[in-house]
Amino acid sequence: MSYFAYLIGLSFLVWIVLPLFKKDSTWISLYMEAEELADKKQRVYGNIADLEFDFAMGRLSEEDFKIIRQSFLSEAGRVIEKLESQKSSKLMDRIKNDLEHLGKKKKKKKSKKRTAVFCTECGTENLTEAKFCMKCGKELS
Amino acid sequence: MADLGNILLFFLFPVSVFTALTALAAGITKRRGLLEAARRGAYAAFAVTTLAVLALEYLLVTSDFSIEYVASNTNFALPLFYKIVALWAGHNGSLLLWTWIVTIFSAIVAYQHRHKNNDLMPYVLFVMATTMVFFSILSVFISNPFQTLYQDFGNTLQEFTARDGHGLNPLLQHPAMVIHPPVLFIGYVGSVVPFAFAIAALITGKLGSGWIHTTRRWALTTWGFLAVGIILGGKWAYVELGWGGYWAWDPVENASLLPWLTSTAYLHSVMIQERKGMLKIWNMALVISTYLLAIFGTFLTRSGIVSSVHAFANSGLGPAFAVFLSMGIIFSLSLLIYRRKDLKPDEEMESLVSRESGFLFNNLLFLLATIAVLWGTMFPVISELFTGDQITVGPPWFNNIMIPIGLALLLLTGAGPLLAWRHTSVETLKRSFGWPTLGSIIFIAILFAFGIRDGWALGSFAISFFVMWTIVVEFVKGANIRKKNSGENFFLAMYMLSRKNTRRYGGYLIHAAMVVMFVGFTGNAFNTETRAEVGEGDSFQLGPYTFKALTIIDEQNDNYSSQTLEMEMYRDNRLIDTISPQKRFYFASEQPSTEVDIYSTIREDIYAVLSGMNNDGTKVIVQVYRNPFVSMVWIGAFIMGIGTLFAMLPNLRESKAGGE
Repeated sequence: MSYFAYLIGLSFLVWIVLPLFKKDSTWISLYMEAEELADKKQRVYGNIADLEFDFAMGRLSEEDFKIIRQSFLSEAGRVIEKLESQKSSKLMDRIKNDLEHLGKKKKKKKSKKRTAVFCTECGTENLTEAKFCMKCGKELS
Repeated sequence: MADLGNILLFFLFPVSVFTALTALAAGITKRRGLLEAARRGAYAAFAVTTLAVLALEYLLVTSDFSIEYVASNTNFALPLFYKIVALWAGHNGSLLLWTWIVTIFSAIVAYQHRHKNNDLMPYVLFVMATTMVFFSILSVFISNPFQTLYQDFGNTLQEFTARDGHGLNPLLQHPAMVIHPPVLFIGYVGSVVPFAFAIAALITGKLGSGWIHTTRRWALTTWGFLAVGIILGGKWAYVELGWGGYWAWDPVENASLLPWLTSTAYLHSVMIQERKGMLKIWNMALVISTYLLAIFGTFLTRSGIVSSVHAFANSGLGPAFAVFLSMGIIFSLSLLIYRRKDLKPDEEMESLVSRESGFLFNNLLFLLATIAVLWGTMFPVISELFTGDQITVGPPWFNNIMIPIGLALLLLTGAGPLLAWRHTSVETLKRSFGWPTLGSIIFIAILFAFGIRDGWALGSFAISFFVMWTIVVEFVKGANIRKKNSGENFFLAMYMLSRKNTRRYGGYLIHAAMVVMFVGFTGNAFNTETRAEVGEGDSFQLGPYTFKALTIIDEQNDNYSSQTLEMEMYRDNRLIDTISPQKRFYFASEQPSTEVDIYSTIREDIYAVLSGMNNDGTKVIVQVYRNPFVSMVWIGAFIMGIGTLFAMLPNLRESKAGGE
C-alpha cells in the first residue's frame, strides 16, 4: 500500500517539474497606461448611469443633475480622447513596424476603422463608441 | 490505508513549497514554463490532499481504531452519517479540512486564470501556495490526523488498536453541526483569494480596478458563506447548548464575526473606489485584514489562549500561528507602505451629504465594531498580561457597545441608498426622508401605546420600519419608472429592473434580510423564562402558557440512554402542542447532553430544557424560555442567502455598467 502511495506522490512531483524542461518563452506585460484609461472610462460611464438612475428616482434636483452630468460628460470626453490618441499612436507604431518588415513592397493603408458619429444637436464629431456628445452632452443614437 | 493517507499528505509539503518557489520565480522572470509548473503544483496539491481526505474518510467509516483520530472521535455504534462528518469533529481532522479547502480554491483559481492575468497570477499562486505550505506543516508535522495509537509496554512503545472508540462529542451530533464547520471554513479560507490578488496587485503595481473586478465574485461568495456559517453556528448553539440563546459573544463566535465585519465593510467601500477612485489604501487594508482575521480566528480556536465552548482543546499550534500571522502582518504592511504613493485617491470628497459620505460612515462604524469585538475578545489575554488575572468581559459589555453601533449601521442601511452620489440637496433630502421618518414616528407611538417601554427595542423597531419602507419604495419606484418607459407590467418591470443591476437589488434584498434579523435580535429584550420541579401530573405557568407534565420516559439504545419529559402546552385552556425535552447520556464518551424541544412560531419560540433530577430524585427540573421573534433570525438568514445568490447573477445586458 505504501509503495503505491509513494508512486502516486512521486509521479505528481515529476508531472509538476516537467514544464521546467520544456522549451520556454516569456510573456510581455500589458500596457499599463491603456488599462488605467480603460478603467477610467468604465468608471465615468458607470457614474453617468448611476447619476441618471439617482435623478430618475428623485434623489437629485434637476439643477444638480445638469451640472454634474456636464462634468461627467466632459471627463468622459477627455478620457476617450486620450484613449484614442494612444490607440492611434500604437497603430502608427505598428504600421511603422510593419513597413520596416515589408520593406518597399507595399505601403500599408491606414485603417479605415475610425468612422465618426456626428451630433445631431451641434454637429461635433464624436467617436463611434461615445454615448453622449462630448461638446454638448446630447445623447447619441 | 493509514500509510497511504499519511504518505500522500506528506507529499503536500514538497508540492506546495515547489509551487510557491516556482510561482515567485515565474513572477520575476515572466517565464511561461515556470508559471505552468506553479499551476500544475496547485493542481497536484489539490489531488494529493483530496486522496488523503478520502483515506481518512475510509478509516473513519471502517472504524479503524488503530488511528488516534478515529478512536477519539468515533465509535462502532455511531451512525454512519456522523462517522463521515467526524472528519471535522476533531482538531486534526478539521485542520485537514481547512488545508483541503485551501488546495481546492488554489486549484480553481489556477484553472480559472490559466489563460489570463499572467502578470498577477504568479504572485497570486505564490500567496496561496505559501498559505498551503503553512497548513501542510501543521497537518503533516504537528497535528497529523493519521497518527496511530501507541501504548506503553514496559519500556517500549507499541502500536495498538483500541477495542472501541471514544465516540463523537454528543454536542456535535446535530445536523447544524454537520454543515456549520465546512460552510464557515469556506468563508474563512475564501478570504485568501481576494487577499492573494490584492498582494499580487501591490507587488506588480497593477493597482487599477483589475484585481477588484477579478475577485468581486469571490469576495461576495465567501462573505455569504461566512454569514451563513456564523448563523448556522448560532442555530447549533441555540438547539444544542441549551441555555436558551444563540449568541453569547463567545471568543470563537467573535472570531468568526471579525472577518465578516471587515469584509462587509470592504463590499461597501469598494464601490467608492469603483466610482470615485478613492479609498484605495483602505480597501487594500480591509482585504488584508479580512484574511489575517480569518487566520487569527483559526488560531484563536486552536491555540487555547481563550476558553470557549467552540474551541478545540489546546493543540500546541499557538506559536506556529503566531509566527505565520506576524509574518503576514509585516509583509502586507510593508507592501502597503511601499506602494502608498500609487494608491493616492483620484478625486476628493465633495459633499458631506452624499452617497460617498454614507459609505464612509458605514466603514467607520464597521471599523469601530471590529475594534470593539477584537478588544473584548482579547481582553482576557491583555488583562492577564498586565494584571496576571484573566478578566473576561461578558455579553453585557458587548451588548452595550454593539447595540448602538448595530442600530446606527441599520439606520445607514435605510438612509444611505436614498442619498445621491456626489451631492444631495436639502430639498431632495426632505422629499426622500419625510414620509419614512413620519411613518416610523407613528410606528413608535403605536408600539408605545401597546405597552413597549424598552428604549433600545423601540429604537430598533422604528429603524427597522424606516429601512423596510425605504427598501420597498426603492423597488416600487424603480419598477414604476421602468414600467412607464418600457410598457412592461409592474412585476415584469420589477424583475427586469433587478436583473439589470443584480448587485444593487441583491444588496437591497440583503439589507431587508438584515432588518428581519434585527427584529429577531430585538426580541431578546422581551425574553422571559421560568424554572420548575415537576413530577407526573404537575403543572406550571409561563406568561399565558400552562405546562402540564404527563410522563417521564426512560429509554436506552446502543449509543446513549435518555430521559424524556412529556408535557402538554396550553394557552387559554386550549391544547397547543406536546413538548418533550430530553436528557441523554452517551456511553462511549461518558458525557451527558441535553436535547431541547422548541415550539416555534414566527411570533415566539417556547424552548424547554430538561436539566435533570432534583436532589431527592423524585422530580425532574425543567427550564422553559419564551423567546419572541427568534425565527426571524433564521428567516432573515435565509433571505440573506437568496440576496447573496441574486447579487452574484450576471447583469442582463452589461451595456450600461451600473452598480453602486
